[in-house]
Amino acid sequence: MELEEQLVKRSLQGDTIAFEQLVIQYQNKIYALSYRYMGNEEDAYDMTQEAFLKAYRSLRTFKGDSSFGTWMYRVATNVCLDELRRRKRRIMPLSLDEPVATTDGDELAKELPDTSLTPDIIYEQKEFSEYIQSLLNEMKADHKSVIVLRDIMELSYEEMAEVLNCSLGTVKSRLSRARNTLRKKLEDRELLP
Amino acid sequence: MKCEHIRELLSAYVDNMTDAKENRIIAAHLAECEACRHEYDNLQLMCTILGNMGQPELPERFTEEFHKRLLEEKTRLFSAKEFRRPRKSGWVAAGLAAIALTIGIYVSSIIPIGAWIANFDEKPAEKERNNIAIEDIIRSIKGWGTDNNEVVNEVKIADSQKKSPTKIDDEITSNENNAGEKVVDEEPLPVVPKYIEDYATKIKVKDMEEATDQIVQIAAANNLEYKALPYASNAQALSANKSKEVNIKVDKNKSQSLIKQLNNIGQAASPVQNKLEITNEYAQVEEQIYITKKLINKLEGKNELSANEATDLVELKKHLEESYTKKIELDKEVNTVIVRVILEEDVSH
Ligand SMILES: [Zn+2]
Repeated sequence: MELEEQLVKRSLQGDTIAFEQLVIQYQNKIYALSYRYMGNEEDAYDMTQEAFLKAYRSLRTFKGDSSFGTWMYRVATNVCLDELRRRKRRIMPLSLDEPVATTDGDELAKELPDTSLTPDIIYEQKEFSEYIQSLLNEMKADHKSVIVLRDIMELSYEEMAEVLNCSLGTVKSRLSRARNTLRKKLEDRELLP
Repeated sequence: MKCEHIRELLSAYVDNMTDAKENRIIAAHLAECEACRHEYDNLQLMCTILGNMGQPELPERFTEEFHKRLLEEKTRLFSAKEFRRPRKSGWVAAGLAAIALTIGIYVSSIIPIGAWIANFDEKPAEKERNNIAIEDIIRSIKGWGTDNNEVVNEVKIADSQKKSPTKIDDEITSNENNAGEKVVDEEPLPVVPKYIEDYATKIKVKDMEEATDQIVQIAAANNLEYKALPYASNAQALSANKSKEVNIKVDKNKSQSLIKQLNNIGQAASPVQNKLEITNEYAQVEEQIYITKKLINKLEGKNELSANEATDLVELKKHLEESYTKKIELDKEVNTVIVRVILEEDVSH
């Protein structure tokens, strides 16, 4: 880890090669993280670039009391969630739990995209991952972030508290609630016994 | 313990984040209660599935593309102008300084240089959202009268940010020309170079904290805005053992007398003058004013406005107002000198 410290210090002095070495160490993780937040490769790619550029710009705020990796997760999480929030403002996606109001005031029950998927297709690993991803896409940001950080990226509770800038207690309770929501969705769709 | 209570603990239990006492209670309950055991099994299964989702592969072009963007970013951050115009709110009004000193908020008002540089281009969240809305409005108005309205609206925001204002402006102009309308506004004026001046003066002091207090008091006595940094902002000084920096904003004509006063604090080296060019920032604001005015004219020229257009018009007017305010602020910056007092501990005594 001493090497990482030196790379950070050299980056601070304007050494881009040092910074690129840091990027190479974390780019796959950050891309995977962004992919889970954004739900598609193109956005994940853009957000990965943005996150590292943002990190470069604000490197001086990196205190070194967490690892560079944890700090990077934090920067990327913020970049992705900000972007999602920004889009939501404009696009206003419909929540799947809410009925669709039609123009003349009638309400239609919304079709769920998964009804056409039969369990045996779903259990093909790839489709299944994609299906879970689509459930993640629907989740609220704070629930999505804990599931992604803990269950997919496998961070510790302490690391998550740093990434999300909250207490361990909050991590614990938020994760518990998020997992319950996701578990119930999977059970409802008979994807869990 | 009740099932409900046990279930709240299951998530932490899966991760071994429950304590020994809780573990005993949970294990005992699971052995007896089938419903909770089912929930626990499913939770565990779900976590396993999530853990096996696999990782997408980062496209190979990433490294090269990032390299290019990083170099651009470096040029922006580390060019001769190491000193950048700080965000207004980063400065502490010296009128408050004396109070802050006595009740001890002084230390917490210290702003790290990193945040300061990072904030250079970053508006507060509210402001940023506003700009996005304005960009959307500009884009949608730009799309008027063309067949691909929907396409225009679907352009991702990230893409729109890459577009330079000049490009948008060009397109507006050409749209208008196609429609046979006359461009009524005058072209933006050629911009005269604008600078923020900055004096760096290095002072060797015996007691860093005391010297900082003295400087802040000088600022307060003269009613000047100041900013204290926990370490010197130039790259070489970062590695020095003990350094600190206080920046003070002062009118151009009063800078010399301030520097003289500061020299009483310790052994001072002669000040170095830097200039930060803000011509670009200035030009951008002027351009925004130009575009916004043009769009307002376009909307006001219509016989009838839809509800959306009416809202857009209000937003545009607000944006124009803000751009004018920003221009006034920049003008003020141009008439100000920033004196950067770099303190270094004198170890020779
Ligand atoms: Zn039970």
